[in-house]
Amino acid sequence: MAGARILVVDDEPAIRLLCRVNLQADGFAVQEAPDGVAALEIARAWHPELVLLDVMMPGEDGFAVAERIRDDPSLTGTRVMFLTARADIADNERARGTGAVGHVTKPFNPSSLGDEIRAALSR
Amino acid sequence: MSDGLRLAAALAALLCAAGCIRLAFALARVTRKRRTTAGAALLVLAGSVAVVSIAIAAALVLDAPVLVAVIMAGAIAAGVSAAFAVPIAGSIQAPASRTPAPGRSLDRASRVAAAGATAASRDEVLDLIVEEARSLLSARAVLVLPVEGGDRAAVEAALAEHGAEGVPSVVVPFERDAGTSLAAVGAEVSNEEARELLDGLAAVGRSALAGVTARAGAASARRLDAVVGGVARKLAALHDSGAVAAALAAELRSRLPIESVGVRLGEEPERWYPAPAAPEDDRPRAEEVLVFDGFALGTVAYAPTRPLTLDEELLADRVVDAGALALGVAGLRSMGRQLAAAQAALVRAAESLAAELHPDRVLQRLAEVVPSALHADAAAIWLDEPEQERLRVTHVHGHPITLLGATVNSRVGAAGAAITGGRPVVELHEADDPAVHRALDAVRRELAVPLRLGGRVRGALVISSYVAHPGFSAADVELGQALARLASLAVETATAYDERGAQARIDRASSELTAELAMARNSDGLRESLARVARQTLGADAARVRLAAELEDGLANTGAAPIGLELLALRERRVVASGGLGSDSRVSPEERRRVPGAALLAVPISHDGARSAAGVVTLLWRRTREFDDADVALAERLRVAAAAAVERVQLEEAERRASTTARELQRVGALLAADLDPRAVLRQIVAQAVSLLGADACALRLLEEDELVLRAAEGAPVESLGGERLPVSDVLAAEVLATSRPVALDDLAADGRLAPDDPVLKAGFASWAGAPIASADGGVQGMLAIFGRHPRRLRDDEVEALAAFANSASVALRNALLYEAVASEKDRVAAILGRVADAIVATDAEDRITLWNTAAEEITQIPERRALGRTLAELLTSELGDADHSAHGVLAGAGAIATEVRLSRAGQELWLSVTAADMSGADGRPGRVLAMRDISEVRALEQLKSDFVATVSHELRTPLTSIYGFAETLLREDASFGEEDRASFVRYIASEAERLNRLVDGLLSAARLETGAVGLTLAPVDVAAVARDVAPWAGGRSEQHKLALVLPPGGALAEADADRVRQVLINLIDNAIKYSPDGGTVTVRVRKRRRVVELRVSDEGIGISERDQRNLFQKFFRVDAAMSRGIRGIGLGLYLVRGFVTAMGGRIWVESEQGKGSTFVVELPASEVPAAAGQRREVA
Repeated sequence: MAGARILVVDDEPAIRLLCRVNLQADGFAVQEAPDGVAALEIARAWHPELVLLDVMMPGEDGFAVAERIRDDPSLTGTRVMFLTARADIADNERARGTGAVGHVTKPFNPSSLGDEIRAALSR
Repeated sequence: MSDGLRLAAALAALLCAAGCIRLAFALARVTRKRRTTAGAALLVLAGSVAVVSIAIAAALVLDAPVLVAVIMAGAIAAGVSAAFAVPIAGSIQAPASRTPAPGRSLDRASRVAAAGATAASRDEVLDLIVEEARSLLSARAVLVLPVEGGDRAAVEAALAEHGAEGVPSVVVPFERDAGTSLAAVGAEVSNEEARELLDGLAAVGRSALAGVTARAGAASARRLDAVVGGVARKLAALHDSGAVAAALAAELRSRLPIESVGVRLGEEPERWYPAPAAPEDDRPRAEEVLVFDGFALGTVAYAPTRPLTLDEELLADRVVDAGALALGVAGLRSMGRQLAAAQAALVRAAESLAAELHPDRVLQRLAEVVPSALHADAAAIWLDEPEQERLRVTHVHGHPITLLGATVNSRVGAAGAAITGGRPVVELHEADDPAVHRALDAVRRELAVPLRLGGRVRGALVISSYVAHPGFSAADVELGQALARLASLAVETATAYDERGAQARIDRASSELTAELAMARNSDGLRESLARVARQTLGADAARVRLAAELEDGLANTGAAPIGLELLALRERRVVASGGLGSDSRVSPEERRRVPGAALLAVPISHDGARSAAGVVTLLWRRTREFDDADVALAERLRVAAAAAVERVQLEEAERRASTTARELQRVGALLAADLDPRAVLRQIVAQAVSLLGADACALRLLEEDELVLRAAEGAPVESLGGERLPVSDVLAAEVLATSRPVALDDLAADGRLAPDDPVLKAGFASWAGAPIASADGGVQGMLAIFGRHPRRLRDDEVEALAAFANSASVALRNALLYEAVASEKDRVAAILGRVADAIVATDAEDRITLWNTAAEEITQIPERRALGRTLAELLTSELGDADHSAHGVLAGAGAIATEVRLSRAGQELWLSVTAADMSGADGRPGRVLAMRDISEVRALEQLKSDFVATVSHELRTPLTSIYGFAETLLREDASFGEEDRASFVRYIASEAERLNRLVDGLLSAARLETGAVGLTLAPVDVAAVARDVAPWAGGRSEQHKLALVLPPGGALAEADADRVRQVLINLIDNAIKYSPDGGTVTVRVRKRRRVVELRVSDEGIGISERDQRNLFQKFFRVDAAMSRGIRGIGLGLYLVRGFVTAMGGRIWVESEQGKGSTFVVELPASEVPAAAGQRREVA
């Protein structure tokens, strides 16, 4: 599981940096995208095992990006985990419809992010 | 045929029979010598001929036609017998051919007999006999000699004439009457035989000749009968004896060989017919007396040119007999005519009496015919007047006219005696005898015959003569009595006829009356026909008809007012007659002057047994007259017929009026019902009442407490109708209000209820009627009154119409008031519904929208006209985005609900808070009523709040995540980061903390703005300097954006709070960057204008829609997510910007076009003082 490819998508450079340094520290291969368009482009080229996807982004929001990943036949091996400030995501039907494997609620402890991703990927 | 002739014929037949018998014996002798059988056959034949001859003789005795028949029968019988005899004879004679066959002689005999029976003349018979004898005797000749057989010398001479002298001959006598004999010359048989056969043939010949003679006699007798019959008829057709005599003479002359003929009638010795036709004395003449019924009527004398034959004499006798008969009849006729002439006077008198059909005329005619019938000079009828014990002369003829009408004591004179005694009385008067009357002074003799009329002596017929002689004979008396009796009968007949006639006339007049009256269709027509028919029927000069209503009404003081007699007829319902008004004590002088006539019949129009009369027909005559029974009977008929007609017409009129009124009421009712404005209804009521009832004015008053307030008036000014307000105690109103019944006053002035100065009277009204207007609860809510300018008696049906009209008026009025109430209620409700903020929508059972108020229009942007009538479902689907009918399903469901539905309007979300409930519609079927409130803004605000919370949460959590995350990262012990990484971690922690601080600061500022507690320190601030300060921060915000500053060289001082200006500028630049996601230049321009400092921040971003521009500065407002491409923010920036700017006395607006970027413009008040010298002012 170590060495899995993780694509971090967030419009906030600080969050992207935070996730990347910690996941790399945990042994993941990490790429970053500031928005959905870039995220899909990278995902299709790189086929990450997991996309850590911020929900509230300018342009396409996280749900839309997740749906496109879900619907892209070339990305069947790519899972999605949401990164969100909203506590009610567990009840969000749209989120559930994307087939995401889990979510991380901001603020989060970055040192345990890797464990959560590993747990999600192993489910 | 005369008996003599018949006897002669019978005799001839018997002779024939005898001849046959002799022939039969002769034959029998010959047969005995030669052939026995043949002799027997001849015997049979001769016998049968004899029988026939006897039969003929017998028949001749009986009757001529029988004679002919029997002759024929005999001939046939003879023929038949011969037919049987011949074969038998033939079979016998065959062996004896030498001698003349007795069979042949028999044959001849029968032929002669048969021919004799039918022979037409003597010569025919003689030829037959001669021929047969010659042939039978084989003689040289057989002769019929015109000499007796016994006279030998004459025979010889006769034979010599025929050249047969010396030839042996046998002679037998033949015709005894004519003295002829039958001679056979040179016969081959013995003389004896020849004589026998010849005798037989002679007998047969005589028989045949007798038959010929008999037949000739019968024919001549028939001819005679026919001739005499014709003459008799011709003569009998003549009526006059002279004509008969002349015709008789002519007939004799034409039928007999006579030279002259004359008929002399008994009573006129010298008169001959034809005249002058007295036969000359020297001529041989025959005279016959014309005898009828034993009386000699005259003589017929004629001179024949030769001696008359028996037939001619017979004819003459019989023609003369016929002439006598005709003369006798003519004489009788003539006598009858004379007798009839003698009776003529009586008959004529009787006829002329019987011809009179009026009793009065009969008596007059009696007086006229009697004098001439009795060869007298004059006659008079005296009638008994027992009550007055006097006699009155009623009819005269031949007397001085002064006698007519004279009265004398019952007991005087011939008349008195005849009446008293009951039998005819003859009186003779001397010249100086005092007469019972001066007009009778010249009378010398009198015959008085009692006159019975109606079964008793009622008077006398007195026949007078001015000469004493010859006096009245018994026959005269009898004739007088007969005429008197005839007159009695005639009088009775005439009386009966008169009565029947009168009855018939009455019946006819009455049926005409009825027929005529039946034509009348209305009162006026009836009045006319009644007057005409009454006048014609009773032969009056004038007639007037007044119906009860008129008599009671207005005729009171006019010339047409009824007089006492008419009122009497009316009151007692009987015909009242006055033959002479001038002398009638029942008629006042005033009435006499008024009535244009001298005689009067007042006929009430009333049924038998009726309690009141419907009127009176008055018949007037210019002259006085007497009314007889017929007049009264006719008047009675008139009374009844008129009553029937009046009743019928009044009934018809009432029906017509009722139906007209009903129609009218219906029309008016409809009119009133159509009007729903109470004021219009009131106006209609009074206008229609005037026209409906032919009134002059009308007032409608409604009850208000104790007053009747005039609500509508027609036809007269208000004050004329009693003023605006009437106390309920008003004289006219009180009764209507008290009884709730219509009240009609015919004549207000006469009524006395109103004071003379009452405005109604003063206005000139004379009649009044009022009817109550009912209220809904059955009470009275007012009064409808009509006014008339003339006294007028309203008919019952008119009063009823007024009441009915008032009723329908009250209903209409109530309806109108109710409608008005409802209408105003409806208006009120509509007004309320129109003003409520909530949309009120009603639907019917079919979901069709029946109510769509103003708020519904506003909320849905669908005008009422587009909504009404459509179904809610369709409307929701087509116009309000309810594609899946989910909203309709909720709204149209049954029962009361309160919910919120989401619709969309013109692409925008429309949230409605709905309360809905079932509500029965006008048709009673369940519909829905919906009250809907537009909660879109509320929902939007809630959404904003909700979004705000999420946004704030997100905005707070993002820097917190960085701060917390980098802090945790720095603290990780399992991972090591380079120095550069750690420095960047710390920088992020610092900047994100600063961001967090700003965020919190913004929230606090917003809160302060809300409460108006923005802490400002106003001082001259160089906006350009602030822009220059901010620029580096802004440049660090984005790598994609360029920042351009356009600043005035000398700065731009505004009276503002420097920190807030800075905050404003940062916010605007931040927005510009955020809403230019594709990068571009953000230009900050500061300009100093006269009173203001203008700060403009322009971008090249997505722009802002016009609608969003309006809400841009609202708290929590975020432009449409789709447009903003997910640009985040908490929606407080511009809210705070505007708050700060306005707090500093400036203003802010945006100029933008979608897709072409936006420019936010801020104007701040320019500072008058330089910054250095500026004072800081605290603003609370």
